Amino acid sequence: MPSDPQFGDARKEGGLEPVRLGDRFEILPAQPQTALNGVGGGAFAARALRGRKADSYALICSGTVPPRADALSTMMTVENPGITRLLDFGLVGWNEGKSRQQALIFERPSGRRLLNTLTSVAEPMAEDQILRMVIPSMGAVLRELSGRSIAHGSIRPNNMFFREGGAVVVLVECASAPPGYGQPAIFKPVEQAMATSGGQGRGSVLDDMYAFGVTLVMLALGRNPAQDIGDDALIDAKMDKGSFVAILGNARLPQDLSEPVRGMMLDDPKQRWGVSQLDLWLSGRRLSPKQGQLTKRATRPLELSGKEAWHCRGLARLMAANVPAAAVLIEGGDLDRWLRRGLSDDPLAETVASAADAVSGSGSRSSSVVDRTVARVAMVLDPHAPIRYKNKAVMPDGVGLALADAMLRRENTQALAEIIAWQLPAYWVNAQPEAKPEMVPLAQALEGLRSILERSGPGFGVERVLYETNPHLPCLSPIVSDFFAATAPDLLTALELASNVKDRPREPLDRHIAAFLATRHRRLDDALLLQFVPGVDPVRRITALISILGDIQVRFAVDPLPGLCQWLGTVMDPTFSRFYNRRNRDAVRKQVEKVASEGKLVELLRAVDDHEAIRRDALGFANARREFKRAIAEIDDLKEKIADTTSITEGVGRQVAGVVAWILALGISSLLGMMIMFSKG
Amino acid sequence: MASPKSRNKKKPSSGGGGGGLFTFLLLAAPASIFAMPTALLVAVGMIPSLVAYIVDRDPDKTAAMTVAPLNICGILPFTMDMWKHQHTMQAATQALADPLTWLVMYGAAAIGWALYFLVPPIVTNFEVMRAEARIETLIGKKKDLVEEWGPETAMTDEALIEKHKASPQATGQAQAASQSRS
Repeated sequence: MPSDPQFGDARKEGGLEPVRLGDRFEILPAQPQTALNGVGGGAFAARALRGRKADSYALICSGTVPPRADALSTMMTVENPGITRLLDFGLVGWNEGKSRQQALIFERPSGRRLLNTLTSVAEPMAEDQILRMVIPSMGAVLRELSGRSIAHGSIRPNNMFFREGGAVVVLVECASAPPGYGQPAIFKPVEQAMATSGGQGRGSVLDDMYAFGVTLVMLALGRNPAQDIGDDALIDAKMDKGSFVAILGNARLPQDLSEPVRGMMLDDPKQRWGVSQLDLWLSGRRLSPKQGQLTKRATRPLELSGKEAWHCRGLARLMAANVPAAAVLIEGGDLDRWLRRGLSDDPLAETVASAADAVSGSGSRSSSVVDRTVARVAMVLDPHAPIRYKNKAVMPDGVGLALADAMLRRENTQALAEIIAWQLPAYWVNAQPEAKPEMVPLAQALEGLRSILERSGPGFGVERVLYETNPHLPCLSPIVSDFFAATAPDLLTALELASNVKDRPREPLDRHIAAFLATRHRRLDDALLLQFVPGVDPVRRITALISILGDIQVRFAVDPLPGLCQWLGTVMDPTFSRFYNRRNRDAVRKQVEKVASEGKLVELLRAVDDHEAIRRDALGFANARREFKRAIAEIDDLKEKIADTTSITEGVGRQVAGVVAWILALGISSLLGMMIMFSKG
Repeated sequence: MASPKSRNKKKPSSGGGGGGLFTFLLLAAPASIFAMPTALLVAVGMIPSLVAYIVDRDPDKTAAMTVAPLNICGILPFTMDMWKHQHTMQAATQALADPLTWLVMYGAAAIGWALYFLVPPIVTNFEVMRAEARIETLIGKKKDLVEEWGPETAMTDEALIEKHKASPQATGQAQAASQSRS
C-alpha cells in the first residue's frame, strides 16, 4: 500500500533534513543521486525504516511533466528481476516544507548502464549475451507489463543496468512520466515519432517491442547507428526505407539476432512482433523473416516548398509542415492530378477531394479553414499518422496528455482546443483503413467535450477538458501547483497549505480550481459553477465556493482547515454586507472568526448563509426605511405647522380659549348655585 | 392673519351660524313670553356675546363661544336673585338700574374677551415648543436608524434600485426597497 500523505509531517520537514514517507521510508534530500534522475524528476537517496533492507532511491516528481498516477498501484505489484521495483509512493513535504511533491521509492539498480548515453560508443555486446541474457530477461519484463496493460515507454540501452556482475539486465522505472515521454524519436515507431510532446498517446506493448528492437541493434553494434541523422531525417528515412533499414544503414547484425530485431522493428503494428511472437522465438520456434511493407511510391514526385514527396505519407508530412503551400496544392488541383496520374489511386483522390470540400465548401477562406482542410487531407493521405493541426501533432488518445503537457509548459493550448472543437479525432478514426474500435469511445468522449469547450465560464473551457481527459492529473492552478492535489480532498489540503503562503492570491479560486472541482467532485452541481462567472454577485460566488469545498470536507472527512477558513473569511465582506443591521453584521463577523478558527467550512457557510437571519434582517431594514420615511414626513409636517403660528392661534388657541371659558363658567356657576342654594335669605 | 391654507381648513360660514341663531330665537321667543323679566335681563346682559357673535368671522364662532359662558356667569347671580325673590319686570328694571349689575355682567364678558385674546398666543407658544421638541426627537431617531441600518436606509427607492444596478450585491437592498414601498 502506498503511504498516506501526511500534510502535518510534510510541513515540518523538507530542506536538507531527512523527509519521511509514511513510516516506511526516509528520503535524504542532502544526497541527490543525479545518475538516477528520471524524466519526471530528480533522484535522492532513500532508506527503509523497517523490514526491507534493499538499497533504494527516491524520485521526487518535479511536476513539470504529467505524472503517471493511474499505473502506480499496478506497478507496485510488478515483481520482476528485470525491472526496478516500485516500493512505495506518496506525497512528501519538500523544499523546506514550502511545497508538497510526489515521491516514488524504487529499488536501486546496481551495476553500470548498458550504454551511458545514446552517443556513447561501447564494446558490442556478445551475441550470446544478448540472446541468453538480454532478450529473455527483457522478454519476461515485457510479458509482465503487457499482462498488466502497462506500456513502459522508456526502453532504451541507457535506461538498462547490469546487475549481479553483468549476469542480469535491469530496466529502470517508467512510473515518473507518461509512456514515451522523453523517449528519443529513434526508439519510437514512425507515427509516435511524428507526434509532438505529450501527443504520442497512451503507448502499447508494441511500441515497447519496437523500442526493444532498436535497443538490441545498439547493444549488438555497441553504438547508435543513426546518431548522425537528425530526428526529422530519420522519420523521413523510416518512411522511405522502413525502420530496420533506416536505422541500421549499412551495419550488419548477427544472423540469429536479425530475425527478432526485424520482427520487432516492423513499421506496421499489425505485423510487428508482440510478446507472444517473442516467446515463440525464445522457445526455439523460428519464424520466417518478415520484410516491412513499404509505402507505395508514385511514378513522379510532387514538389512542395522545394521538397519532393514520392509517397502519400511523405506528402502528408510535407503538407502538415507547409500549410499555405499545401492549400494551394489542394485548391490548384495538383494534388488530385498527382494522386490520379502519379500514384494511380483514383479512390484516394476522391476521398481527398471530399475531405477538402467538406471543410472549404462553405466558401470561407479563413486561416482556420485552411488549417483544417490541410489537417483532414493529411489524415486521409496518412491515416496512421497523428492529427497534425497547426503546430501540434497528436494521436487521438494523446490529445489529453498533450493538453496537460502544453499547460505545464505554459504553452498556448488554442490548437489543441481547436482539434477537439473541429472534431478532428472523430475524423481520424473514420479515416482509418481498418476499423479501430478501441479509439471510437475516445473520439466520442472528445466529441462530447465540445460543448464544455464552447462554454467559457470558470469550470468549463479548455481547463475542464484538461481534467476530463486526464483523470489523474493534479490541479495545475498556480495557487496549489506546489502542493500536488490530485483529488478533491487533496485540493482542500493543498489550499490549506497555500493559505500560509505569503503572496497568496485574494481568493482561493481560479479557472483551474473550478474546472478541477467540476471534474473530480462528480456530485457537484454545475449550477454552482455558474456563480463563478465574472460579474455575478460576489456573495453568491463566495457562498458557492464555500458550499462546494464544505461538501468535499464533509464527504471525505477532511481534517479541519483553519487556514483555508480564515482565507475565505478575508473575502467574505460582501456576505457580511448582506446584513443591513450593524449589530447583526458585527455578530456574523464575530461568528465567522470563531468558526474559521475551528476549520469547518460547513459551519462557516452556516454562519454567513443563515437565510432566516438574512430574512429577518431584510424585514428589519424594510421597517427601518418605513420608520425613516415616516420621521421625514412628520418633521416636514411639524415644520410646516410651526411656520404658520397664526393657524395655531386661530385654530387650537381659540378652541382652547373657548374650553377654558366654559370650564371657568361651569366652575363659577356651580359656586353661585351652591351659594344661593345654601343662603338663608 | 390666518394663512389661506388654514382658512381653507375652516368650515364654510354660510348657513351654520344663521341657522343656530334662528333655532335659538325660535326656542327663546316662546320662553320669553312666560319669563319676561329674565328675558329682559338676559337680552340686555348678553349684548357683549351677541356682539362677539356678530363680529367674529370665524365660522366656529370661537369668540362668542369664549365670551358667552362667562357672560352668562355674569348674568346668572341677578337672574337667580330675581327667581328667588320676585320674578317681575320691576325687579328686572331695578337690577338693570344698578351699575353694579352692568359691571358684573359686562365685566364677566370682558374676562371672556380677555381669555379670547390671551389664551391663543400661550397655546401657540406651547405648540411650537412641543413641535420643536418632537422634531429634535425625530432627527435623533433618523440618525439612529442610519447608524444602525446603514446609509441605504436614507436612500430613496430609486437611488437604492440604481445602487443595486451598479452593484449586484445590493439585490437584497432593492428587495427591501420594494418591501418598504409596499
